[in-house]
Formats: sequence, structure tokens, C-alpha cells
Amino acid sequence: AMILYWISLSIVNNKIINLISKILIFLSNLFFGATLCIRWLKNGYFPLSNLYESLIFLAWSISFFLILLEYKTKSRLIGSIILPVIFFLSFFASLTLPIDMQKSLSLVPSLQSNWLMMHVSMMMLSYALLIIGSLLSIIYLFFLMFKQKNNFILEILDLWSYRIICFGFPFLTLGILSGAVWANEAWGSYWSWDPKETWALITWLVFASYLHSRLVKGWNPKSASILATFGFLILWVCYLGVNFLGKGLHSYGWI
Amino acid sequence: RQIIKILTDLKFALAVLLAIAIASSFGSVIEQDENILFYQQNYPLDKPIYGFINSNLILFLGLDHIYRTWWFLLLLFILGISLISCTITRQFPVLKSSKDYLFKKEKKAFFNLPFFVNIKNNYYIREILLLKIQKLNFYIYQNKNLIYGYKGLVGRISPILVHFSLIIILIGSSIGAFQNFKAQEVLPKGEFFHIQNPIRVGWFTKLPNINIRVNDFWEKKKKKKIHQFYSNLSILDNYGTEIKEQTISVNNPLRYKNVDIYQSDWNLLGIRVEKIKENKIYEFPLFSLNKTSRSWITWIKDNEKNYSLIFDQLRQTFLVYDDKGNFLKESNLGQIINQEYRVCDILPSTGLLLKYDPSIGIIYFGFGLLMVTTGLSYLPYTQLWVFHQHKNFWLGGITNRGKIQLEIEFENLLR
Repeated sequence: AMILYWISLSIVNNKIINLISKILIFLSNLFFGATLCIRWLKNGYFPLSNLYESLIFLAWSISFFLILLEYKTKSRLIGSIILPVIFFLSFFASLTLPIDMQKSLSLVPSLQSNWLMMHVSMMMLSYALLIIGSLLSIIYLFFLMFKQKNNFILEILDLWSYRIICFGFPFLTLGILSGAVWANEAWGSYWSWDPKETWALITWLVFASYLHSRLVKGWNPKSASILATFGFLILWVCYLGVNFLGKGLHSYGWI
Repeated sequence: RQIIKILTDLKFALAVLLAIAIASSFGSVIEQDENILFYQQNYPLDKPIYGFINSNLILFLGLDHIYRTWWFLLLLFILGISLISCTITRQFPVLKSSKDYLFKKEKKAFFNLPFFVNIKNNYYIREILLLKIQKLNFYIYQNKNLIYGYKGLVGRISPILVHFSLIIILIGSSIGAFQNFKAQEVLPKGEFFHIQNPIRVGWFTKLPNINIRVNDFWEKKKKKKIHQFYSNLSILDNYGTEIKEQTISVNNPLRYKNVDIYQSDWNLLGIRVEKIKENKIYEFPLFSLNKTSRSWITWIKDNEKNYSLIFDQLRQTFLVYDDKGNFLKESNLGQIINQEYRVCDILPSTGLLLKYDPSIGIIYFGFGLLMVTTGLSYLPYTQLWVFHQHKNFWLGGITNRGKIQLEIEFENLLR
């Protein structure tokens, strides 16, 4: 029942109804947060142990950053792009995943560690920021292709995309490094070329080259945005795609 | 000289980064470290995938062990060299010059700055401006009619340190690759062992000489599901006296002189059965039914009948079947089966993973430095110049991040 609430709340997708949409975004963020807190209290461990919980956490972080960004930039453009993502995430999490996967089970021994909190939350926060930033780059490319008039919007989109990705990149670094330290504590090897680790590294490398691309002499925002678009796709492969491979140390959330 | 120019070029570094990324992605799609037969079956010679990917190509290019092939290691090495050369040639000089008093003495120098302004006919503005700049926490150098101020040197140095910590991590992992090793042991309680059975050994590895004894192995359950595995280990010296003792569990390894012992797996070795008439205890081995299912089977032979006993997980109960496969009953440890035998005990063994890696200290240092400096790189480094001559007054500024912030500060200064 609570599930249906969020879905109805996240279908806010237009520029017209200002105040109502703001309140709804705020409320849906609260609902996500409340679900996580309830699961946390009930199970005694931080709610990030399976795919369902991580999807809810991701939806919460994206809506949280969305609220922050809307406050800072006073623009509803970002919201109208990001909200479909949140919608799909919560839809997928609540309605498509089988009920078994949504239940909270007790943690397997290898997950009982304080590193669980730090590593996974860092990764999810960084995913949230990088998704928002790279989506803005994709929209930049769209505008560039179809609506070549408004230079001001283009510049702003590029600037926001850069700053958001800049902000999310250290989170990604922290997440990967804390994952490596955790792996070393638990399994004796800080890097084992596991698919998820490998793709996280690839994501890191692509976004690092995006950030450095501004210093290259022949730089223009278009090529940087193409890099960010690749980063977006790679991020989804890293987050969800490797679960389908079903191997390695990270296969906690397969279908 | 040409080579150095190419190496320090940013575009080259970006290309290397992307090449490593693409190569790594191949490694996750093509299964790594399997035997030749596997690749021949999945990438057959007569029906190659996409027309040209067959097992010969894979084995020739080394795609079955990408992360250890010479060309991948060469890419990593080139990345390291590019990082080092970039740090030395571009960033150190900047570090030095940031401490010089870069006064701007001519009008022309101001035109290059993103923010500058020219104020005329105001004699007292210099003092007012100085006061305002001081309030903004700038370090100010003053020389006659020239002023230079900067703020946030951390933001200038941090990117250099970021690259430096990446270099440390790469060096650390190379050292580790040459010197580390991993070994595995599966032992029941009471057993004692030296480090043998290495899984992988680097080129310059020396096997350390320590003795380890497994004292006990148990598990703890929570809500009927396995919660955690524990092993109690002692490290002994060459005379058998105990040097160190610790209970390890899955996220809690034992650390002794650069050797780490991790709790990794477990197994059931056998059962202890008492033959009641003879009053003797026998040990029967258990055989695994299926590697992943955690079930074991053994057989007891009676005078007339044969029984199969099946043990599942680490439970105290087991199932008894007759020799035709019919289910007879479910029994507990300590109970008598058919008046002849009593199953006393199960013998579990613990799986331990041993690892020796002297480079961990370096790597952790590199990690820590990287974490800190990546965060600090976002602090802005702002510089201001003031120059006045007769009635003309020039004020200029530049920053490397947060340009909007500088604009706001500029406006405030001018008021």
C-alpha cells in the first residue's frame, strides 16, 4: 500500500503546478527515507543488503539531491528530467521485483561489517549525483541537435553538468576505495577484477577523463557531453548490468 | 624529447585511461582464467562469434587472463609514467611559482584576467580596498604601489597530491604483485599446519615460516539461518608454545607479521559413530553430494542391511535411508540407529585463506591520501592583484574553481 503511494507521488512531470509539485517531491523523498528507516529499525542493520533496498536508497538520494539542486538553481528543468528516473526506479523496485526479493532477510556473514554502510552508501550517493549530472549532458546534446537557438540554456546545462559530476566524483572515489579496503579485510584481496569492481573502475576512468577533458586545448562542450553520456550508460551497466552476469563477489541482487 | 612531449600530453593520458577502460570491459565479458577446453567449447573454431572471435584469437591475445597479459600491464605502466611525467613537468613548477610574488605591474597584464576593473580618480580607494581584502582572509603581499593576494593554497596543491597518491597506489600494487602470495587450508579442529598449498605466488615471494593450529570451529545461528562462522586459531612457535590466539570470523581476520588469515569456507569431513556392542568409536568419512548444496552422505553397513545417512548444512539432525533409497526416518546426533550404531558427532572442518602482502601499508597510505586530496581539490584557489598609478587604479582576479563566487566577491569589493 505504501508502495502505491510513492508511485503516485512520483509522476510529477511538468512545469505548470509549481508549489504542488515541490511538495510532492518533498513528500516522496520523505516516504523513501521513511521506508529505509523502518527497515533499518526493524532488522537491526543498515538497509542496503539487496537490490530492492539499494533501489529505494538510490531513489531517495536522487530525490534528495534534486531538492537541493532545485533550491540552489531555482529551476524546474532539472526536476522534469530527473523525476522520470525516480519514477522508473520506484516502479521497478516495487512492482516488478518479485516479493521474495523485496523481503529483508538476515545478513549473510560476509555482509556483517561496518564497511557495508560506508561503501554501499558512498557508491549509491555517487551514482545518484553522476546520474543527474550525466543526464544533464544528454539533455545538452538533445538541445544541441534539435533546438540550436538558445545558447544560454546550453551553457548553463553544460556548467551544471560539470559541477554536479565534479561533486559526485569524489564520492565515487571514496566508494571504490572503501570497497577495496573492505574486500581486503574480508577476503584478503583489495582488488580481484570482479565484474562489478571492474565496471566501477571503468566508470571512474570515464568520468575522470570527462573532468580532465576541459583542460584539453581542442575542447568543446559537445565532446565532453558525449563522454558524459558514455559514463551514464556505463554506470547503469555497473549498477544493474553485472547482476545479470551472476558471477563474482557482488551477485546479491540477481534476477 | 619528442617522446617526453607525447607522454606529458593530456590527450595521450586520456587515451590511455580509455584504453584501460575498454580492455577491462573485455575482461568482464569473457570469462577469465578458465582452461583451454572451456574456451574451445564456448568460442568454437568452426563457428566463431561475430565471424572472427574464436578460441584461438582469445588465447593468442591473452584475453583469457587480460589483467595479467603483458599489454595490459604495459598500459598500466604507461599510465604510471604519464602521471609521473605530468606531475614533474607541469605541476611542480606551478607549485614553486605560486609562492612568488607575482605582482602585475602593467596595465596590459590585467587585460588577460577574467575579472578586472579600472577605477579612476579616487585617491583613498587603496586603503579601503586593502581593508576589505584583509577581511576576506587573503594572504597579502605589498610592494609600493602593487598588491598581490591569494587564498586557498590547499586547492592549488591538492590536485598535485591526487596524482601523487595515484602513483603511490600503482607502485604499491606492483610491489604487491611481485611479493604476495595466497594459500588455502581446510582443516578440522585440533589440526595444525604450516603454510603450504599456495594458490598463487609472485616472482619474489618468500614463504614465511609460521605454525598454526586450529583449536575449534563453530557457527552461530540467528533466526534459524546461519549468522556467522568462527574459528579459534593459535599461532605457535617452533617449540609448540603459543604466541598468539584469536577467534576469527568472516569479516575479522587474524593478523600476524604481515600474514593475514581469513575465515573463508567450511566443510564436513566425517562423522563419529559408536558401535554399541564393541564399545568402540569409528570415524566414517562424509562425501559431498553436490559442491554447492552443502549436503553430505555416508554409509553404514549392518549385518543384513545398508543405510545411507544424509547430512545437510551444519545441522544436528540427519536423514536415514535404506539401500533402495527409501526414506526411513530423521534422526538426531546421539541417537541410536537400528540398535547397533549410535551417531555421536559430526566433524566439521574450517576453510582458511592465508595471505601475505607486504605492500598493504603503502596501498592504504595511497588510498587514504587519495581520499583526502580528492576532497580537498575542490577548494578554490583565488588570486587578486592591485596596481595603482597616479589616478588610475587596477584591480584584477582569477580563480580555478567557483568562478561565480569570485564574481560575487569582486562585486562586494567594489562597493
